[in-house]
Amino acid sequence: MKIAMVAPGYPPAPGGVETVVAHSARALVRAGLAVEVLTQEPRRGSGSVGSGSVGSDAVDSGSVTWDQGVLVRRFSCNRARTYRCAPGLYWYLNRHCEEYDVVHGHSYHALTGVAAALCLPTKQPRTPYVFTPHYHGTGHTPARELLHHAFRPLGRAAATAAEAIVCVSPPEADLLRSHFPHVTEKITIIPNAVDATAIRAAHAVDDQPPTVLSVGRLERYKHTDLLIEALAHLPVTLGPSSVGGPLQLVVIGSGPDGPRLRQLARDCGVADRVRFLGQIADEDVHRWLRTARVLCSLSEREAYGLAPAEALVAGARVVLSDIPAHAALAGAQPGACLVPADAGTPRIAATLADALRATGPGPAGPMPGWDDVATMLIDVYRAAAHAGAGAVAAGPRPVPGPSTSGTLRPAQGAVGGDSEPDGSHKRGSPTMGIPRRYTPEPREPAVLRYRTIGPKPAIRRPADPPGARPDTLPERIGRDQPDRGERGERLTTPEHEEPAAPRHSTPAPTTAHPDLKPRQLAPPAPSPSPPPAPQRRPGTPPDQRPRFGSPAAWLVLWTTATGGAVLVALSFSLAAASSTGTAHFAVFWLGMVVFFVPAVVVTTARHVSDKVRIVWMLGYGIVSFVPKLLRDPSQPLFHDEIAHWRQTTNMAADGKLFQPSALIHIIDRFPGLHLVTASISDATGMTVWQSALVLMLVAHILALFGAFMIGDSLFGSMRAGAVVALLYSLNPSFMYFDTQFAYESLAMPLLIWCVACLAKVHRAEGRGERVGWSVAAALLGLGVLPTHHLAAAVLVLLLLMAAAITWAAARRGAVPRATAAATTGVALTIGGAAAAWLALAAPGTFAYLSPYLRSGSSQLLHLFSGSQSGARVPFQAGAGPFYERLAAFTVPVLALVLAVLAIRQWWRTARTERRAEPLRLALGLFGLLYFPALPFILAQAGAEGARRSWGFTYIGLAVLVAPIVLAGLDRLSRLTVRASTSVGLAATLLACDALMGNVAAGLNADYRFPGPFVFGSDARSSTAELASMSQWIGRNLGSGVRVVSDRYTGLSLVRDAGALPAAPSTGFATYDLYVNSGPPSAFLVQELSSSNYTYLVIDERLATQSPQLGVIFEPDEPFAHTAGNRVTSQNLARYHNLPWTTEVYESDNYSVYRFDFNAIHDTVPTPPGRHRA
Amino acid sequence: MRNIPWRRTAVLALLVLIGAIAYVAQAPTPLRALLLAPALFWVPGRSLVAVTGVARTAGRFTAPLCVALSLVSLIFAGLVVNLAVGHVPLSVLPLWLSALLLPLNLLERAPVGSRPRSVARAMRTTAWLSAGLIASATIVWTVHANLPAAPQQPYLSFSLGAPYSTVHGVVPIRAGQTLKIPADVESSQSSDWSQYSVSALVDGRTVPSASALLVRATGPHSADVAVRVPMPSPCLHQIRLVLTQAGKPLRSVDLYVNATAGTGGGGSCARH
Repeated sequence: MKIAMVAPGYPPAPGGVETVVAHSARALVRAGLAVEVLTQEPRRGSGSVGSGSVGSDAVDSGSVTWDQGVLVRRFSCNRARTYRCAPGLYWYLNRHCEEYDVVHGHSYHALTGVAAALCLPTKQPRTPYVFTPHYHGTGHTPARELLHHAFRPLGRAAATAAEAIVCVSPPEADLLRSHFPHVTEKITIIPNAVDATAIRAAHAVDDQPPTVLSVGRLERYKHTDLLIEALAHLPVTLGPSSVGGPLQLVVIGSGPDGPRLRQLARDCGVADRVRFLGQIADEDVHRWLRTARVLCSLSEREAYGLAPAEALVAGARVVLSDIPAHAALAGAQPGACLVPADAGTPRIAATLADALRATGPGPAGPMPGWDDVATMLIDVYRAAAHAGAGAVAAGPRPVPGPSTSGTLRPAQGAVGGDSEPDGSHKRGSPTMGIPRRYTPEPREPAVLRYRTIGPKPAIRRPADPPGARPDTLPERIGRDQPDRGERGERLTTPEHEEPAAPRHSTPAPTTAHPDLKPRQLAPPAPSPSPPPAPQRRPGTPPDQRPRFGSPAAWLVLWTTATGGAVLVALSFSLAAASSTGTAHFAVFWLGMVVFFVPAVVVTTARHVSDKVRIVWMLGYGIVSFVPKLLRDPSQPLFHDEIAHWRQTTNMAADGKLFQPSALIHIIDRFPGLHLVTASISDATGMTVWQSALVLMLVAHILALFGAFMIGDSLFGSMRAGAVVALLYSLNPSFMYFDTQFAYESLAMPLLIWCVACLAKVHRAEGRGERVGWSVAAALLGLGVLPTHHLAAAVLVLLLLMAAAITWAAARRGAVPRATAAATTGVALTIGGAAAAWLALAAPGTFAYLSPYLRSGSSQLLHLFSGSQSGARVPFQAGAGPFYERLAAFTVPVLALVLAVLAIRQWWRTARTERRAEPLRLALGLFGLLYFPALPFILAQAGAEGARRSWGFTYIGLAVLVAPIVLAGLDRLSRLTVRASTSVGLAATLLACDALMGNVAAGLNADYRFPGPFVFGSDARSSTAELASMSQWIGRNLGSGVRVVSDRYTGLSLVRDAGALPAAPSTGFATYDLYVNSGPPSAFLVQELSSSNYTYLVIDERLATQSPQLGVIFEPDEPFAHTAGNRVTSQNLARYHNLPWTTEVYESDNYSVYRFDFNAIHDTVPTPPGRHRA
Repeated sequence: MRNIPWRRTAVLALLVLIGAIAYVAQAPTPLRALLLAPALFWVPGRSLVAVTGVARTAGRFTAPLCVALSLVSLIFAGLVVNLAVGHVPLSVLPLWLSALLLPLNLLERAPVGSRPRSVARAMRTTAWLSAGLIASATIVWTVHANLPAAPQQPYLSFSLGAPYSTVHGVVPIRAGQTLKIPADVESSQSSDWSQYSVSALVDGRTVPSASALLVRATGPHSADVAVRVPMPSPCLHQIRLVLTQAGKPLRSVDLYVNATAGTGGGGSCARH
């Protein structure tokens, strides 16, 4: 009898199906059959496999090899990790099927089994077909699950075409029957076998500590991650009776989940106790099976459980997830115990601990061998041949090859006889030697549940309350335990070699909570012995317990926060009281450092509970808001702030969106901030400004925590999250610019949270989780669009980058395609909505933004070409102390060094690991944009844009350099006390340097500190005199009066009078009224009249002082930043005597004139001794 | 099996109800703001978190995520309402939004057997943090309010009073008519107003009947005066009011009038 086995692969290709095919084919050959295996392997280049081409006369017959009498034909297929297809195989099978008595196809999911059935000719006599589907009932990823449903009709056709269907376990048969009820009668159950002889003959690996073993492809659905996390909850040693060193986990197998698992091992601090052996030879697997005390498989779906069965034969105990296949195995094997599919890691750890403590080899029940399987298969083949067209009943055909015997042995007679002395199975026994016809019958509860809840019983990590994390589990296991930190203490630091002392000090979780008793372990596990005292180097700090959670530590938080804020207030008072000196700078930085340093220490420390870290981070968010708050808590102060406040005030008055703005015309197109603030104000009764302050504080803290979550999600550690948040908070905009009441201040946290949710998408473990976070990311990203133009553009750019890189990673199999699809979905949703918003609601955005970019680039190019046109010298005003300037110049250097180190580390990471982190790569690349933006600070028109861009790029920069910072911190902890103190001090100084330098680079001193009047400054030009003038206008002329004024007067007019200052431009050159001595042009008069501009406000100092900002009206005025003042006293004084400008108000520096353009050509009698203007 | 979070939904509903009661019954006070805060910053976002099912994996970031989503939902709701009715009822929008999104909480798939978080423990932590924050804020605010601030330069302003501060253009009058022109004086410092006087000049020449009129104090920082100016001839005239202190001119404002010969207007200007 000649059998053709069609398989998705054949050893040395890895995989369970491949192993089953190889063993059963060899056994069939031993039983006297001729077996050919038709399989596929990826192309390795031309000519390496087969010859000819599909469809040609010279049919590709595959590359032929022999394996223990089995003829293996390998056909060239595509290189995809999944869904490989070798057209030549099916072409060959179609042409040559008549040479075989039976065609046996394997695997429903790898397509070969289905395709083989469908490619067989339908004309009679038809070659009988036996189908072993190895059926899981679903795909392993959402995309594959979708394909699985689409593929089902073909699968149905294949099942229908098969004469017999072989399932490896009753649960698989149940599942298949539930999906294809019409094939129930065809199903036969032939369990997989184990090579007991080879396993028992293998020698254990020498000198190994107590070992937990995991064997299988590294796929997410195998849930090796839970095993790694459970290892972190186990005591390092098993008590005094244990020998051989700390408990280790050995992971055999390779697959796409490998990089993540390695990272997880590092995150959990067990990297030194988890060994990834990759794909190894069967003989080595047998040795490890003989070595291991426990084999654990937590897979969420299996058709059988080959590795656990082999482990049982090897004498190991097995801990299995309670999926139906495992439940079926455990039902017959007393050495196996189950953990619920939704058990948390503590419970898994407890079960493992009990299995590890159990003495002696695990008792193994009856287990078939491969020869038994061959016997059962032969029966099936025979039945299939008879059930077929009858053509094969004539007898076997002679076939070439080493085993040409076509004798078909009777099933029971041929395989009779006892097998192993321990009775692990009885060869030829009634239960093992005969294929069992499948009959639906009640299964164990787990099996029933499996059937009722659907095909994918995902193992949910937590049966924990919402918000619980693996790192908090020790807290919840033993309430009397002190907080001892979290799981991510050592992640992202390959250099990390911290001894596992904290784990030693943890009481074993297995006995701490009654819920943790494993299902099958009746006697309570003995308490582990007290942990050995951690060995430490001389001089290293002994404290490995949780820190900063005591009342004294909380008092330090409160004291430093309050003291720091008081010092900031004091520095403001000093700055306000004295116009000279730099003492206030020193006091300010003292106040900031008083809190910043302990905040950095606590939030980046290793042994800190989440709660402590979060509260300190919250404190840092509040304290870093204090400088802006105390700058002027009573009213909006900065230019943008006043514009947005007025916009919000107008909206709060009548609830109308999109009202024009007098100061920044584009903000009316982005009403998000105003809408939220006005709603808070109207609902609560607070003033608009109070509401604005509350919202800005909330947004400021949100931004910090968003960065916190990005780090936590990407690196899997709260500590890493804290580092990312702190690094992000060093950006120049964080303390002042992004705390002012402006649309960017709200858009920034929404952007950051969108990215944070996207990071969660990349870490999602299930479809529901992925979809949920994608929706959240899309919602938050969409919230950016009606809030701020630049943030929306940056977000779309970042998302598109992330989507492209993720797709590239998915194409290489480094990340699930579902993740790439989700990322792309978010990017396209937000990108599309942004385009729609810009086209429909804010069409003027590009025209608004482009001059900044254009002129900045132009000036920069001029600068590079040697021209000084538009050049800007940083700190030209020279108000700040030298150390601020020094720090500002060192920050880019520091950032560059860290970035280079981070790139170097990234480059040294294994390629597979790099590819598995597409979002980190995208954010890192985005962060590198910080450096190209640096030169723009040297251009007048580009400086502001550069500073603003840093607020965005620092998110990426923080993600990029966080691993390096963490590595440095970890190295610091391994130094002696003296050395660590010195280096720690240096590191602290560097952090303070970065904080100081970036704040100094972000805004000049006039913005940051109160003080005496500075002409031409947005923040210091507001005086009581100006406010009084504005209030007079508001009081006498009413709100909404249109005036012509300079920029700085206009700010107060908007804020205090509700006036609408003119926005000068080349088409509306109101600055002619200041710089020209003649009467205004007829065009300007027409424009002013038609727009109802009725008042002119003159600041007499325009003629005598140069504005600090270099502009009188707007940055795009024609004489901006030019030396010399174009406004003369004579130009301004003329309005005293012109009949078309009636002076209605005069104070020390301000005059208010009322226009009457009808009298522009009138004259008045000349007073004696005066000349007509 | 889905575990419907009835308890949390009820708590959120209660918070919305309290906010609504505070909105209706309370005058604008900090208490009202406090009671409305959940409807503004928490309930909408928590409902969205529930429907997206991310609460389980958000962990300790659930709270800020809820706040961020609340803000976003408020923006979206405002835009939608504005699109529908042309304006936004801003004061009730958060309450309506919270109430509308509340049922989404029932869609959350909470883990079976999960234990609700200890409210008492959360309240205790929140109380401690709030007390610390309030104490700290009080200290900082007290210090800030009592420290010296930037000194302001004194100023003195002089302006036309109503109605001449608001009239538009050149004022038409009849020749010979006497105008009563009010003017206001304001100073940033307390002043001895007896030293201040106002004189009127028509086309640069002093009007004898309106010369050195003392201002009248209306407050420690303000004073006013009313100047009567007869119009000499039909023409366009400039009337200038000059504020002086001890004879020294300080400020001036002016007014342009077009004096006509009679009610019919017209007439010729007397050229000087």
